[in-house]
This record gives sequence, C-alpha cells and structure tokens, in this order.
Amino acid sequence: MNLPGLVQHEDAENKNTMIYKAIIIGISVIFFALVVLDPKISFADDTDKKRIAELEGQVSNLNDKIERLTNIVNQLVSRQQRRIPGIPPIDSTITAKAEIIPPKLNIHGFGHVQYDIKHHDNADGTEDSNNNFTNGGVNLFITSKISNKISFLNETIFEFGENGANTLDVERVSIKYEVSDKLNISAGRGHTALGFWNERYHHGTWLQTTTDRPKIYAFEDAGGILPVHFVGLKFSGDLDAPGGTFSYVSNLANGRGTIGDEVQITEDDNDSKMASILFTYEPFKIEGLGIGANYLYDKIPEKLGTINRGAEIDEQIAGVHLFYITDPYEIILEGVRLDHYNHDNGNRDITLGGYVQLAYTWDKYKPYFRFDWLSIPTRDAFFEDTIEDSISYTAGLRYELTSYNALKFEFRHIDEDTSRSDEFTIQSAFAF
Amino acid sequence: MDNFSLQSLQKIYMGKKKSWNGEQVSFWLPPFGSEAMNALVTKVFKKKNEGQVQKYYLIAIFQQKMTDMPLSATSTYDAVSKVAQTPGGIALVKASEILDKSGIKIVNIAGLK
Repeated sequence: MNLPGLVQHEDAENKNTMIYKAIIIGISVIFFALVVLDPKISFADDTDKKRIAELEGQVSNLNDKIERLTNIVNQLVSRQQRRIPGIPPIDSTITAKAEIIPPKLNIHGFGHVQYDIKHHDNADGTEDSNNNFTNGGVNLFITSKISNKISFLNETIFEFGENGANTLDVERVSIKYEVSDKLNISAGRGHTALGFWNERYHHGTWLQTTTDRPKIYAFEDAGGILPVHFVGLKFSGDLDAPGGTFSYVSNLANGRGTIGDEVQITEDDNDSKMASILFTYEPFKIEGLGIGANYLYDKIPEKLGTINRGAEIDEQIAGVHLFYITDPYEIILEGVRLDHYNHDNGNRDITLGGYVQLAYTWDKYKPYFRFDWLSIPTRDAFFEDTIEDSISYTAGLRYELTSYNALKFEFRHIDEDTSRSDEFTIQSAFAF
Repeated sequence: MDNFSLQSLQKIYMGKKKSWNGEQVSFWLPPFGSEAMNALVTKVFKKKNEGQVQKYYLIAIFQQKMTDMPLSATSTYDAVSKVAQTPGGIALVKASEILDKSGIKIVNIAGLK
C-alpha cells in the first residue's frame, strides 16, 4: 500500500517528534542519573520499603515451591517414561531381581529364665521340697526367603541339662514351597499336625500365656504322650469356606521310634509312614473363634527284647479343639484320644487327655487359669508305665513388662498316682 | 474391582493370604503414625497400638506364616510409588492423599473409614 501524502505528513511530524524525543530522552537521562545512580536520592518512603521486602519474600517462597513441584513432576515424568511401550517397565524387572538377590538371613530368638519352688507329698508317705533357678536356654530362630515361593526355617535350642550338660537341639528345620494359598509343601522337621496348641505355639515360652505347655502336649523328652515332632513332609493351606476360612495341616512322616522320646530323624524303623491331618474352621462372624479336629495314624515299630513289644503297635490319635482368642479373651479347649492296639498281646489301650485354658487381658496384666487332665492305662506297653494319670490346676498372672518381655507368676497343684505337688514359678520370658 | 472386603484385607495383612488372582501379593505397612496406620491397627488388626501389630508379625514369623517383618512405607507418596512399581503390590493409604494415580488402582475397603 502506497499513500504518499500521508507519508509526507508523517515525515513533517517525524521531524517534530524527533525533537520531542530528544528532549524526553535528555530529561530521562538526567532523572536516571539522579535517582538510580545516586543511591542517596530515593522517592520510596518506609512503607514502600516494607512492601518491597514482603514481595521479595513471597517471590523467594514461590521459587522454593516451584523447585519442589518441578522435582515431583520430574519424578512422575520419569516414571511415566518407564512405561513407554517397547521399553521394559521397571515393574517387570522386580521379579527377576528378586531371583538374583542373595537370600537375606533373619535371626530372632527366645529365651527364658525362671525360679521354681516345689513341694511333693509322695504316696509312700515321704515328702520333699526344693527350689532352684533355671536357665531356659537360648532358642535361635532363623528364617530366610530363598525366592518368592521358597523359604527356609530353622529353630535351634541351646539347652542346659542336668549336671551342667549343654545340649544342642534342632527342633525345627524345613524348606517350604508356597504353591498357592491353598497349598504349601514343607519338607524337614517340624511340629506334627496334632491340635491347636502344637500348631500355634512352639518352643519359645514367650509365645504362650503360661510358663509351660499343657500336659498332653509335653515334649517327647519331657514325658509327653504325643509325637509332637515329625520328620517328613507337611502340607498346609487355607481354603475359602461358607462364612469363614477352612485351614488344614497334614503330615506324611517317619513316625514314632521304639520309645516315646525317639523322633526318627535320619532313619525309620519300619516302612510304614505316619499320616496325620488337622483342620480348623474359623467363621467370619465371630472373629477369633475356631473349631477343628485332627487324626493321626502310625505303626510303632516293635522293640525286640522287651515284654509285650515283640510286634508293631497300631497308633491312632484323634483330637478336637475349640478356641476363642481375641482381645481381651483367651479361651482354649482341647481333647485327645490316643488308641494303641498292640499286635503282640492283642491289647487295645486308650489314653484320654485334655485341658481348658482361660485368660483375660487387662492392659498389661493377664490373669489365667488352666485345668489339665490325663488318664493313661498302666498296661500300655509303649509307655512302659513311665507316665502317670494326672490332674493339675494352674493359676497365674502374666505381666507384659515390655512388648517383648513378659513376667509370669504361676502356681500349680498337681495330683498324680504317686504324688501330690504344689509348685510356684516366676518366669521372665522374652523374644529378641 | 472397586471394592475390597475387610476380611480380604485382614487375610493379606495378617499373612494368611499371599496371592490374589493368581499373582503374589506384596504389601507395605502405612507410615507410622499416619491415619492409615491407625486404621490398620484398630480396624484390621483390632489392636490398641502399632507395637501390638509388630508383635503379631513377630509371632507370625515364629509360626511360619511369614518369613520376614513387612516393610513400612515412609509416606503416602512412597507407598503409592512402591505399589505402582510392584506387580501385586498393595498399600493402605488415605485416598485423599494420593497425588499420582497412574499405575495404581484405588479400591475402597468396605467397613474401613
């Protein structure tokens, strides 16, 4: 577009404008020199200074926020970029990483020390009393996750026996394969699927409310009647059931040795294997409640050279259990029936036992009571008359000194065939 | 799946359920002292404090239900990041604190507020 007139006018005007501009620029230069270059001259009063300082502070804060937000955005963008198709996402490498990271060893443990006072009135008219401190040994518990599906467990106890003897006792050692929630397979030595207590509590006394196990679940080397340990396979899992959960534990193992105290670890005196199953149903509606039963079958090998032990003994153990454990209540009932059919003399001997345990937690205090009962036929050739009928009453108070240290004050009255005993125990049980 | 039952959450956090839809579950405890942790303690475990939950896990290890103590998230952001990066990952967090929802699915827990 060409508009000459207008262009000219524009030229005349430009001449005048240039003059005005020169004047304005001159004034501006003088003003700039006076106001800006000479710091002594300022038109800002104190209020303005304050306002400027406030604004500078706000700008600084905003800069900090922008920096933090930038960091977050960078992280998010970085994560998002890792999900770009074609580029291996970070999550797909995690499983692979888990397989190549060396297993981590976790060590925990239990221990207890206690003081006992005991008084026995014997059937032959004599009586005896004693009191002693007891070091309960050190129970080391080692676990390791070998892979996502495979884990290892070991429970070894350094025990102190009579006359200062030190004993190393490997109570549990097993490798576990987690096929699914419905099926886990363990191989090694563990606690037999016999009932609630044997499955729930192990060697650490800190785990259990009382100072000791119920009579029917006494360990084999402490005069127990049941094969509480096994060496073999363990199958376990949880199944969905109407209104609750159905869990099971099953064993296929070496079984008993020739005497009650013998857990066959590296051999089996007969070819038949012990088989057992334990199941428990826990309803959703009553949280903490469980009810279940168990059954075990085994053939106890003959013990040559011993009267009435010239042939195998068929052993069948059946049990039922009910528990309700939810703060503040603890109620446990268990009963067991042990059937021995002796192929040597044709005798069938039935042992019955059970217990009921009640406890109530009140803050750090937990008073408890237990009634134990055991009826065992003296003619049962397997026990060789080493275990007596007994009834015992246990009353105590557990005090949680800390989360992992409990003090227990317990009194027991025990009636057996050959004696009546009163016992008092103070125990400090702890986990570490 | 927009809802998750409290029983299912209990089973997972109590070490009784280790897989979900055929995938192995990895879970993180909420940050200590957080609202989510308080909900876990009181509603899921029905315990009185976080120490009792730690005690539960120690007992679960002894009972061979678990192999190791579960790890804790240091913050909601940390929990969400871990879940986003881990197949089968689960974390209990306060929904309103989730900033980045990519790579995760938010599900409501029936009976847990």
